[in-house]
Amino acid sequence: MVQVRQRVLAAVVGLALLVPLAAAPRFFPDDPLWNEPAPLPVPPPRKRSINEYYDFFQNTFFTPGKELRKRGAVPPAGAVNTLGEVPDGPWYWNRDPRAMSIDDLVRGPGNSNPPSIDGPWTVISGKSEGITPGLMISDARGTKYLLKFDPKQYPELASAADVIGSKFFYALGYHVPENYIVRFTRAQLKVSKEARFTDHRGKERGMREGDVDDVLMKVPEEPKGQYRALASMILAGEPIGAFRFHGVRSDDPNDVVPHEHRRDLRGLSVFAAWLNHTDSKALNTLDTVIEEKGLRYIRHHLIDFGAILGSDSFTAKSPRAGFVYLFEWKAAAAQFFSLGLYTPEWMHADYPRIRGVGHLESEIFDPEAWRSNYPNPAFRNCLPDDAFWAARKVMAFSDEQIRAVVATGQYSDPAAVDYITRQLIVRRDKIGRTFFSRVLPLDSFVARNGRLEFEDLAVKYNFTAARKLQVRWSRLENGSGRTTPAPGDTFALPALLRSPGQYAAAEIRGDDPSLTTTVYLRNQGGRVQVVGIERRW
Amino acid sequence: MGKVGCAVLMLCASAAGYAEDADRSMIVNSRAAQIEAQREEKARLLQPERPDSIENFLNFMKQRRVVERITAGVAGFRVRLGGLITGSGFALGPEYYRRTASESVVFRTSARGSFKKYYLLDAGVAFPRLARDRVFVDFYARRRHYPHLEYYGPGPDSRETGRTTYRFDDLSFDARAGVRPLEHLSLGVIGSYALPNVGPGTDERFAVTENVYGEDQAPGIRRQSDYLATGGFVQYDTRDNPGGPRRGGNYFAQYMLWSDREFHIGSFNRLELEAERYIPFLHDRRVIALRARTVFTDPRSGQFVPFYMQPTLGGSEDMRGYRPFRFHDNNSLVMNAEYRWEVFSGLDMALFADAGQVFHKTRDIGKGTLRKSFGFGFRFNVRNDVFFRIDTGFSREGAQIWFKFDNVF
Repeated sequence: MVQVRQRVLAAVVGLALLVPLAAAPRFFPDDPLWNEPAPLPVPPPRKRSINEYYDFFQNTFFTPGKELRKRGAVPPAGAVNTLGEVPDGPWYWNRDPRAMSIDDLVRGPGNSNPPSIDGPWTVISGKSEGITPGLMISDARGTKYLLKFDPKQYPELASAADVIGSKFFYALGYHVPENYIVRFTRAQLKVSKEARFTDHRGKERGMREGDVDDVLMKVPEEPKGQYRALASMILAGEPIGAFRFHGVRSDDPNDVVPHEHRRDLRGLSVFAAWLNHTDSKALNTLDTVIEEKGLRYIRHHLIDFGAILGSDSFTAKSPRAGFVYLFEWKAAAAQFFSLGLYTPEWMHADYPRIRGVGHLESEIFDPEAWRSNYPNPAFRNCLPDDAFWAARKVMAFSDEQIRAVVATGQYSDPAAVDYITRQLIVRRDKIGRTFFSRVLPLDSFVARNGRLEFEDLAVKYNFTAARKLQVRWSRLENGSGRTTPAPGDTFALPALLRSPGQYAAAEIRGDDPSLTTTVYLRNQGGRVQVVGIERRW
Repeated sequence: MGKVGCAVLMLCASAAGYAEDADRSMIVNSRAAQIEAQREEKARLLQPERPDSIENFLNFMKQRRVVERITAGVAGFRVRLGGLITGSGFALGPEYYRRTASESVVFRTSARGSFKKYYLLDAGVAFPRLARDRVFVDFYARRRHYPHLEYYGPGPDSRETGRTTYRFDDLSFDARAGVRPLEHLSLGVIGSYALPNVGPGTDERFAVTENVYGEDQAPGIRRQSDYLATGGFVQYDTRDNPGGPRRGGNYFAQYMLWSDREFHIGSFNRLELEAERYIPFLHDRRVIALRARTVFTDPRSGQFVPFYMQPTLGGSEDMRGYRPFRFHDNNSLVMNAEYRWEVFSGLDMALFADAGQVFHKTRDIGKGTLRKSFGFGFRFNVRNDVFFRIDTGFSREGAQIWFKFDNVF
């Protein structure tokens, strides 16, 4: 068995069979691609409804997408450029937390469009069925929002999580809705004559003012008759349902990479672990058809972050959440046969009793062992380079930035901000320490002053002492992909790169010979640039 | 290197299902063009999103609200499972249930029958949240027909071989009103009128009760009277979730005066005390559940407690290693202890031990044989509410398996 697995970050997906392989160059002139090409127009797609139970059973008892594995092994991620980065597009948008100010982070997807209080909010629909009641409103400007409430026993829990989640996931690059915490009195709400209401039996009917009273009876009431809610601004475009974490949409010409192999969705597992987004499933995503300059295409969003951190939307998170799937054969068998005498570590976790916090901890958190509520095909496929891609972004958040984002949850108890911030800092560092050890964590490559410069992230974040790295240069024939050794064992750029059109590869290794990072450089028009990165582990 | 890279590219192309028709001769000279070509190829083969047959079926169930029709009802009708007396077998029937969204008024009526031909008709209206949740009032009416209940004779030492069968029918009307002066605390008054009737049981495997036991051993077997009952109750309930408690306690006391309105020979007073305590550990994934329950009846001077109104032990609710209603007498005491542990989020298991005794007079408590049973159980839950349990109990009289659509306590 080959112990050293080779993973290529240099492949943007597709077209292999469209192009004679022998003729395919390793790098195209426009590599690395930072923006996806303009999308093709999408024909009117059919709205699809993903069944929650189907999704649970399919992912719990089967392995969707596994037929795409090559000889049982998980293939490298797609939807990346030759540097291993995800190009900007309808799935993902690169935002570097290091380059974002506190204001940028707090603004997130937007913070200037809360529901207007210049007039009453018109309730256009509502529901009392399900585990959390909700109201759809339209403000005086006609902007629509979904009002979601905290569980009565846990004020601030879900609304804070939902706002914080939208800020973090926006900064991490995903398309998310604008979420606001709002406070209002009953007088602010007026039921539209056309409003529809789904009652506790799932039956839809005309909505009455009394239905609003009934919904508000089930939620926490603050002093002076105020109610706190999460107002999630309705996303732009026509909603057409959720996306799955495997396969592709068959009606979207731009959706060509199986979702379980998208780096942005594989790496989402690391972000979800950091923020304890155990409910990261298909139903908490939404595709919308966007029309821009006459072009209709599908944009993919993450929505509903009420079950991140210590919240489970309708209650505090179960202590098992994040540590074990809702159903897991091995864990269930251990409990069954041990008569409960086997007590996994998560049963011994400590949780404080702070208003709005729920169950979030960092002491026994293990980034690699973290679990969503049920298996997620993209998460299951997360390889060390996918995790590195994500961990690098997590580590980019400073303590101050984390605190600022957590504060957007508007907790009434400052201890909540302190506690959650502390947990996220520890979880962040565990993520960095774990995933930076699975690959050689070199980053920020640039050819400057005749040298190849970079950062060793493990050293930068003090996970390891400064270490000596070795480099081996080679010449790359871009057309054939063949490499031949080139002189040089320092990080000074080899002479061959002085000639336009030439390619060179620098294979860098540290103490562990199984971990290497190979950087590809190109002289294009007299300027040397980093054009590709490949990691092996 | 190139080999792995090719694998990636082929993977994505074939996954999209359009590789076969690809134009292999097309020349692409940029990454953007490569992606665009792939998209264009897929665009030629677009298909509407179609769920597979299983998901279609589940979506059909959802759209037509099939589950809601069964569980929550459409226009108020739904299916009600179980809820008859222990030993009646699998029961179900239609239930009409309506409540206002705020639960200020709840109306419910049902007709349930079992495959053993037991049936129950009932109806009730409740006002559980009057005066901002401080006051509650309930009215309830019930008609029961149980064709063969078991009777083994009185006392803690009744013989297993003394099993007989009798038919029990009744019609009863109850009214209850109370207040919640403090959080967790409820107290109130109860009024009830009952018209019981007893006759020969229909289980041909066993002797008819009245042919084996006379009035001295089965008081009230010859003739039944109507009863008027009045009394009061107090309850202190701190359970976190009554449908599947993991912490807190429930303490209940009820005192009732049962008056024989017809023959004036079977009047009695009845005191019922019950205490439940749930001791969680390991973040509530383990629970020690304890319950003690006692019922004292006190016949008025020269009168008796009809055997069909006596406290009983045995069955799925208390002594799970014994058959239903295995022990009858004027008083009873039972203690249950369970160790419950979570297997996975939808299933808890339990090891349990039951000990109990019936006794004729209060002073007899502790005398006679303390019956014991033990066993294990499976508790299936949805969002921590137990909806189905399988308990297997063992005793000196053998093993019993119980399938119940409720929680034991």
